[in-house]
Amino acid sequence: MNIIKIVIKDIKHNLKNKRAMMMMVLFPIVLMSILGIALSGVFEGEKINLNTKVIYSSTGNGNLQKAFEGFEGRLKNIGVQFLKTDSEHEGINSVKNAAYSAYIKIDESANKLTFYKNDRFDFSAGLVESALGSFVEKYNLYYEIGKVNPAALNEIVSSKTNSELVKTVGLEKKREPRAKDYYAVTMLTLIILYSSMTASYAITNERIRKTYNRVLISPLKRHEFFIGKLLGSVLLTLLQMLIVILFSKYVLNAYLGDNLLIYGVIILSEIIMAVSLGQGAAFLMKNDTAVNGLLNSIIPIIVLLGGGYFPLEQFNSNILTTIAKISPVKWINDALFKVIYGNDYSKVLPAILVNLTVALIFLMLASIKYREEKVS
Amino acid sequence: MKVIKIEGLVKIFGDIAAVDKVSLNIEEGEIFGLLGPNGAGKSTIINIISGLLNTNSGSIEVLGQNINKHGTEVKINLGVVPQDIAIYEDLSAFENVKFFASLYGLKGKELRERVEEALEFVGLSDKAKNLPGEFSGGMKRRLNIACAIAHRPKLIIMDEPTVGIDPQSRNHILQSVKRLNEMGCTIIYTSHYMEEVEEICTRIAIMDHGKVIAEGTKEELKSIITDSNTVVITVRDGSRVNEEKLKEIQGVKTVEIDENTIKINSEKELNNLDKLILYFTSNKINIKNVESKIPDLETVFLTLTGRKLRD
Repeated sequence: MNIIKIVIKDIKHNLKNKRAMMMMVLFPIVLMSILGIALSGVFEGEKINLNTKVIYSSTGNGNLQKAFEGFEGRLKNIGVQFLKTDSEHEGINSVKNAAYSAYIKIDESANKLTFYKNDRFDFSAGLVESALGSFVEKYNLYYEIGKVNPAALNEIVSSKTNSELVKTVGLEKKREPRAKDYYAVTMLTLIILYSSMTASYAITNERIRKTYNRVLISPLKRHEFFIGKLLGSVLLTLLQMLIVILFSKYVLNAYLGDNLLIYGVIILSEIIMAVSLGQGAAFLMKNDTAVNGLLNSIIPIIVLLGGGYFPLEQFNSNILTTIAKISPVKWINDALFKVIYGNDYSKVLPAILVNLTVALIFLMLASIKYREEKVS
Repeated sequence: MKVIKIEGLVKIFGDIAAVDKVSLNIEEGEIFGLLGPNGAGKSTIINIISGLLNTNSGSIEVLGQNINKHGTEVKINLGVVPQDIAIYEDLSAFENVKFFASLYGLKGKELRERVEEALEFVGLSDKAKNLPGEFSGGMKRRLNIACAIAHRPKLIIMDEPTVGIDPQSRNHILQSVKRLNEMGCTIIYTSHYMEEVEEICTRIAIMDHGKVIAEGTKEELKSIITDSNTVVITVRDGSRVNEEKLKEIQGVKTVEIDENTIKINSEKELNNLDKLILYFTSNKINIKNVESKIPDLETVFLTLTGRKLRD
C-alpha cells in the first residue's frame, strides 16, 4: 500500500512537470515527424532499398533452381544484388569476410536450401532470410500439389491470383519500412533511455527538497520507498510512451507490425532497464549534476551504437558491429525490426534478457548503496 | 513516564565525536530544549532518535521501546519538524500534508480530517490549495510543521523550526509549540536562539562539542551562575575598549563587546563596579549608561564554555 502512495505521488509530480512531459512526449513525436518527412527520400517512399549483396551456388538446373530465379528477380527490385558462384567454399568465405551479406546454397538433388548470413548485416540479411522463408513455404506447397495433381499445379501457376493461395509472412506481403516507420521505432527507443533521468531526478529531487529524510523517518519501510520509486518511474514512462506509440500509429500512420503485444513487452523491458540505470546512478552518485552529466554522456553513445540515429551497417566495419553489441538499444532495435518486418521473434528474448540484466545490475548496486546510507 | 531515555550515547564521524557519552531523560508532557551552538550535536541526536543514523554505542528508548528493535512502532508516534523546510514545491499545501500523513497509516475520511486539522492549526487553512512556491518563508515553516503533526504524534521533535523567519511567524510557531504541549504532546525543541528556549521550554540541556554540559530548568541553569553579576555598560565609542584590560580587573570572568555595548560578567562576591568605572574614566571613554542584568541562558552558556552561542 505504501508503495502505491509513493508511485501515485511521483506520477503526480511528473505530470505537473511540464518540461519533463514535453521532453518525454513532445520531443519524440516532433523528432519522428520531422525525420520521417525529411528523410522520406532516403527510404525511397514506400519501397525499401536494402542495397545488399547475396552470393549463391546451385548444384543443378531443376525446378528449385528455376523457382529460385523468380525469387531472385523479385529481390533485385528491392536492391538485393545476386552473384552466382560454383564454389560453396567461396560462398561461405564471402559471407565471413563480409563481402556479401548472405550466402544461399541450392542443393537440387536434396531439394534443399541452406542460408548463411553475416551478423554485421543483421537487418538486410535478416530481411533476405525472411523473404527466403516465405519463398520456401510457397515452393513446398507447389511441390506437394505437383506430386498429387500436376494439372492443378499448372492451373495455379498460370492463375494471376496464385499468390493468394499461400499466406506469405515474409517480405513479399508486408509493408516496407519508410522513414517514418524507421524513426517511429528508433526515436521511441531513444527517448526511453532518457527516462533514466526521470528516475534519477525522482531520487535526487527528494534530496534537494530535503524530503528524502522526512520520508525515511516515517514508518515507511526502506524497500517500499525503493520499489515505489522504481515503479513510479516505470509506470510514468510507460504512460508517456503509450502516448508516443499511439501518435506514431494513428496520427503518423507508422507501421508497427502485427504483434503489438511483443512490441510492448520489448519496450517495457527497455523502460525497466532505463529506469534502473537512472535509479542506480542516483544512489551511487548522489550529486544531481554528476548524475545528469553521466547519463547525458552515455545515452547518446548507447543510441548511436544501437543505430538510433542511422543504421551502422553502412560503415561495413567488423569492429563497429562488435562494439555495437554492448548497446542494449542495438538489441532492442534489432528485435523490434525483426518482429515488425519479418514476424521473426528470434531476437526478442535476448533483447529482453539484456535489458533485464542491465536493470538487475544497477538495481543491485543501488540497493547496496541505499542500505549503506544509514550507517554513516 | 519517560518519553525518551538515552544512556551513554556515542556517535563518531571520522575522528570527531559528534555525540559524546550523552545521557538524557525526557518526561512525558515536557517541552525539552536542546540548546547549543551549530555543531554541538543537537541534530545528530535528533537524527539518531528519528532512525536516520546508527549509533556507535549507547542505548535509546523512545516511549518505552528500543528504537533499534521497534523502529516502526516508535516512528508512528514520532513527528519530526526538520531544520530544513522539507516539502514538495509542486504539490499543494493540502497534498503535502496528506502525503506525509498517509505514510503513517491514515486514510480516507480520517486522513482528510487530520490534514484539515493540521493546516488549521498552523493557520494555513485558507491556503490549502496553494502551492508552497507562493508562500513566504514563515508560511513554509508552518507547512513544515503541519506535515509533522497531522498524524497526532505523542512526541514531536522540532529542529530549529524558526530559522530565518520574520518575528510574526516566529511568534506564531512558538505559540503553536505551547498549544501542542497543552494538547498532550511531549516536545523536544532545539535551537541556538536562547530567548526562544527560555520562553517555551520547561527543561533545558545545554550542549557543546557533543556533550551535555548542563541540564535542568532555566532557573536551575541560571543558579549555576548565581555567584556572578552581569553589568552592561554603554559607551560612546566601543572601539576604544580593550577587552583584555577589562578581563585583568579583579573578579571579571567574561567580557562581551557588541559595538558600544560592553557586557561584563563578574564574581558576585567581589564588588568591582568602581574598578570597572575607573577603567573607562581613566581611559577617557565616555559612559552613556550602566545597568545591572539578570543572568540569562546566553550568560550561562558563556560562563560554561567561554564562547557565545552564535560564535
